[in-house]
Amino acid sequence: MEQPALRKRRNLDVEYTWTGRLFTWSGYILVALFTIFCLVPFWMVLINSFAAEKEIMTNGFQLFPADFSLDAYKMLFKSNQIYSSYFVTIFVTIVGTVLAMLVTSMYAYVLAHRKVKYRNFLSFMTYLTMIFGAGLVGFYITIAIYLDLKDSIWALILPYLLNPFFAFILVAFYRSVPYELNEAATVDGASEYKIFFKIVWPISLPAISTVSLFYALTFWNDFWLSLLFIDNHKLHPLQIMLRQLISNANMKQYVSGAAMDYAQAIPTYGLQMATVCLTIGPIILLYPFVQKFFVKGITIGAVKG
Amino acid sequence: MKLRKWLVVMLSVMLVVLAACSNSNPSGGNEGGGDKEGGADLGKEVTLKIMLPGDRPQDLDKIVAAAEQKMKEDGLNYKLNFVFVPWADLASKTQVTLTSGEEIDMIYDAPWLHINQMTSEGYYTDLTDLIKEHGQNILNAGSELIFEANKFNGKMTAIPLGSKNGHANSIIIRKDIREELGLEEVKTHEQFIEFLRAVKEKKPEIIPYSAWGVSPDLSYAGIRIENDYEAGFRVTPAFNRNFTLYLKGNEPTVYNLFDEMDPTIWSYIELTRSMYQEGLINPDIMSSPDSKVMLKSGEIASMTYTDFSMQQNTLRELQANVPGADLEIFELYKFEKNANTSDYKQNDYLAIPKASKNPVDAIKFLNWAHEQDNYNLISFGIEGEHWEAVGDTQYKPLKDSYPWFGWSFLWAPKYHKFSAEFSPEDLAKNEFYYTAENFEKDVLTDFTFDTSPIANEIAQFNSIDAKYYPLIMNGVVDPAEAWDKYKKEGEAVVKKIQNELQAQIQTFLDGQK
Amino acid sequence: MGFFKEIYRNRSLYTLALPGLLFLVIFAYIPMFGHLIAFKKFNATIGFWNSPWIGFKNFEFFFSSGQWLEVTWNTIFLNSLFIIFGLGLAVVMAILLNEIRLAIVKRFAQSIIFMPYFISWMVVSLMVYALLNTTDGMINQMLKSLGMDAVGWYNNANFWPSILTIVYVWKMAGYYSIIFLASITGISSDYYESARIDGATRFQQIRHITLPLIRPTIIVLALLAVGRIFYGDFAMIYGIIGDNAALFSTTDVIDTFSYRALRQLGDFGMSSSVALYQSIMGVVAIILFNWIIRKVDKDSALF
Repeated sequence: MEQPALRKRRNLDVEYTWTGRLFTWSGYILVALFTIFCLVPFWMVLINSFAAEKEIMTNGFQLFPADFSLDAYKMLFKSNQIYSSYFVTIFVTIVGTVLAMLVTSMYAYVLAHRKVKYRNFLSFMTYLTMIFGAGLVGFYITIAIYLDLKDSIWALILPYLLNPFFAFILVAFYRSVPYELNEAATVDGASEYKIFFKIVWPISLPAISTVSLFYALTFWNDFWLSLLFIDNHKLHPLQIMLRQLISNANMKQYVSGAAMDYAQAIPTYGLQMATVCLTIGPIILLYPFVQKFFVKGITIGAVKG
Repeated sequence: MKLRKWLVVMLSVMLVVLAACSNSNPSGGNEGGGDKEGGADLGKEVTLKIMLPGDRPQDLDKIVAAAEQKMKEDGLNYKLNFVFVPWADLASKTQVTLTSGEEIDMIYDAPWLHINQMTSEGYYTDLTDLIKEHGQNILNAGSELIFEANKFNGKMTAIPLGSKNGHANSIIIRKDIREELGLEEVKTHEQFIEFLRAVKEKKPEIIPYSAWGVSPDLSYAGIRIENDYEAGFRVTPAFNRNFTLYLKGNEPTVYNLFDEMDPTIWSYIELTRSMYQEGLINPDIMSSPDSKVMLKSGEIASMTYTDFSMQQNTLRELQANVPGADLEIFELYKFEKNANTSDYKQNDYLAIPKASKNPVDAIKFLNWAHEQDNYNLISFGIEGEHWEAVGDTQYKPLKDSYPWFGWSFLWAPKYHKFSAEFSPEDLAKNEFYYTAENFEKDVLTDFTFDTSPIANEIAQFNSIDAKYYPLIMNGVVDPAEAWDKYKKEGEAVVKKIQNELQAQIQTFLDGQK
Repeated sequence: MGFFKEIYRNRSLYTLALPGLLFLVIFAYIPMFGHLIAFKKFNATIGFWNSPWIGFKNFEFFFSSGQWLEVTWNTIFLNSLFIIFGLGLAVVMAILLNEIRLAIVKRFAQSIIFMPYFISWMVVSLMVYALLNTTDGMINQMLKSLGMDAVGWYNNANFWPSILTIVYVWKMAGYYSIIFLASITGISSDYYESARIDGATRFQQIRHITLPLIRPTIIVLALLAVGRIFYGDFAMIYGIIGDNAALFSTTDVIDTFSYRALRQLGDFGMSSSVALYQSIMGVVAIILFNWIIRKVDKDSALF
């Protein structure tokens, strides 16, 4: 029997008992607090990337710097390097994510599938690779020498095609998909491939989009692979270029387009902030797009149908 | 299904693009075919791959093209492929490159990096004969003293760069603050401490003194010990920044602070501690960012300076942030003949890995580079465009698109030019410092400490030392207490290292007789 | 021939898994030979396979001092704090975010808490320094204005497990909450409908529906993290603590310790020995935990 309080409301889940309201409001406050806690430092990074270096040097990081300047960004963009780096990174991220999603989702599906007798063994062997890291020497020798991938763009993509952590996230998800779906499809005469690509894949959209995002981030943020395997500076992705910038004493040379006066100071701190912004930029644009895929369960409907 | 088709299309497009991209990747290595330019047959074209730390100069490609052109005219068909590695990753990248046997033709190395290790494990080609045969210019451009002293176990396995002699640290002081406080120029340590006290009292918002805490040789205690000309304390080849084992004067005996604490050293340590407690030293010295940055931002009034002449860039940047500021140097080093010893060991080297397939060509290239004009081209850029000569030994940069990176690649005393920004006194000091003959020959010149018998002990010591020594030297902890703990943990290990070192030194000295 | 029969019977499935398997073999298993270096005196000029075996000598530097116990403990302790509070807050955030009705507020909050993940540890350490330094750190300035003494945060090791945990949670909670949010989104609304009809409060719904249904996800993430519990986050800890010895007693982890001991020696054999130690202990930890989880909830176990 419906409680009278719940009858005519736009939103049927809202609580009007006092405990309910306490709960809801403390929830809101907690979220708000944590959001501010995350927002403020990010705001500092953003605003200080536009602050004049003198400001940062003399007054530290301010919420509202007194003096603004585009010097840090000017430095970054006047170079020729940044455009090619951006291109390389975008290319690697897109190709890498697509390929990685394919390989990982297929693999995870098999690990979660009931019919596969060896799935536990495979799971263990997969997980083992997470703990038993490859180690620098073996990894380097395998990729640079046995596979001869030095200075090849594939060196930036192939080593990350299957991340066990992400694979297991997908495995957990696939396990939650009711097996009845598979049975129903088999009865209808569908092959395993068809089941996977035409039935399971669409249902797994929330999980797929999550893991895609994580893969994209992995490729986007990586500098380690390029440090080890890419000596040709024309193939340097964004992260290694930024890292070079920050960790080198005489930063100007990597970037400067001769527009800067010899006597001017290098915007050290501003530069660091600006690089963070540049890195985040494209991803921030991508993320709301991905959020759209977090839609509610299509699963139940599918089974009933 | 639509999604799948779309994926397939995307992938094929990618693959096509990729194929196109991969073809345009240049790769190091030999390319066949002779070159018929310039009349005479120049032989096979050889690409020399060079790995250096730091930043790629913006105009490097221009210079490389000019150099390659010039080399062709001189009969050398070489192409130069420079690879620059970020400082933060230099150790891992060079290690991995060398140990995997990759074909690099020239690589930078240094004592603080891993040159001793790599040499003793045989990664570098012995250049002794090669350089006599193909590299006469290189030998002529340097001092024989230096080449002799920088051999490893009697062999020249790397070319020493530069001709520095030891460290010459100083203290840099904010001149404007000193004048504001009405104090005289600082010429003694007592005056210095007075200055710090005045800053603390009258200008509380400025930190009186800071240093790079992580490097204990730059701490106040550290530089007092190092620059105590009377006592003559010197570091040992075992630890290049730690005085737990030390030498005195120009004697080959290794002393151990755990066996017996030297009272002078202890007095410096206690002095630093009292300075810290008084608030004269940056309380967060161990975690602060680079003290140079703090100096430039106007936060500190003095710091340990790893140079003895003023770098104009630093001053300019300071003045940009704090108008009217000025700097001066409190000199700790004596610029007198034979006042300092030197083992002529350099801090930077260029080596040719055994894995290189072109050692002869590499030496020939370096030989070519050791002629005044070619040296100028590679070191400073195109004359008239990037730099101009000032007098015989100085130069002035015209652009900043080609900063000098010779300290990691090409640095010959004979051809080197100093920056035109040096004042005459600074120029004189620099010339003094870079001339090997001004120094008394260290008794341990030519000695290389082979660390492999005690590699474990060194590793253990490194972790123990890092826990206590920097804190003690910077005055951050109570010295008596900390030294006790340090001694307890480190005694045994240090003893082993001391014995090994002394034994090797003895063998070396016996061999010299 | 049960093996071949099984492969044949499920050939399409095994084919699907093939690229992944190939990858693992090439990029994960083959390079594992590198671990053997821990037992050799590696010398590249005579090659990897010809370098002499020296048994456990490379392990000596790590185990002969009492330090290894302290750093191992620090590693496990800090990582446990990170897992518990990081995942914990992520779950809480995910649940609370799910409660928000206004889509735009929800999306905004989600994006914001995700931001810290992108800030590199180098920049984070600058911020932490700006907050905590004795001379003009923000926290100390606040304390001073309230009439209290400034605190030397960077000189006292006891503060740091908490500080590091706060920083870690700040950076990673948003990232993990995405996984949980995706998981919660997958729960059918029918469950909530029938619960509401039965008169359950929102809080009860969360306790009895949401939490149990995302439990498998929580467990998977926790298990995955436990396997790495012997690996310290080098970038984070070295970035923030650096070489400040005053803080080592609570923050020095296996990775930073090993780095400091070996950075001048560059001995691959020795650094590999530490990595091997971490790997083996990780395997032990995970087998133990997986066994425990099996007893509690069989389906959630990884293998």
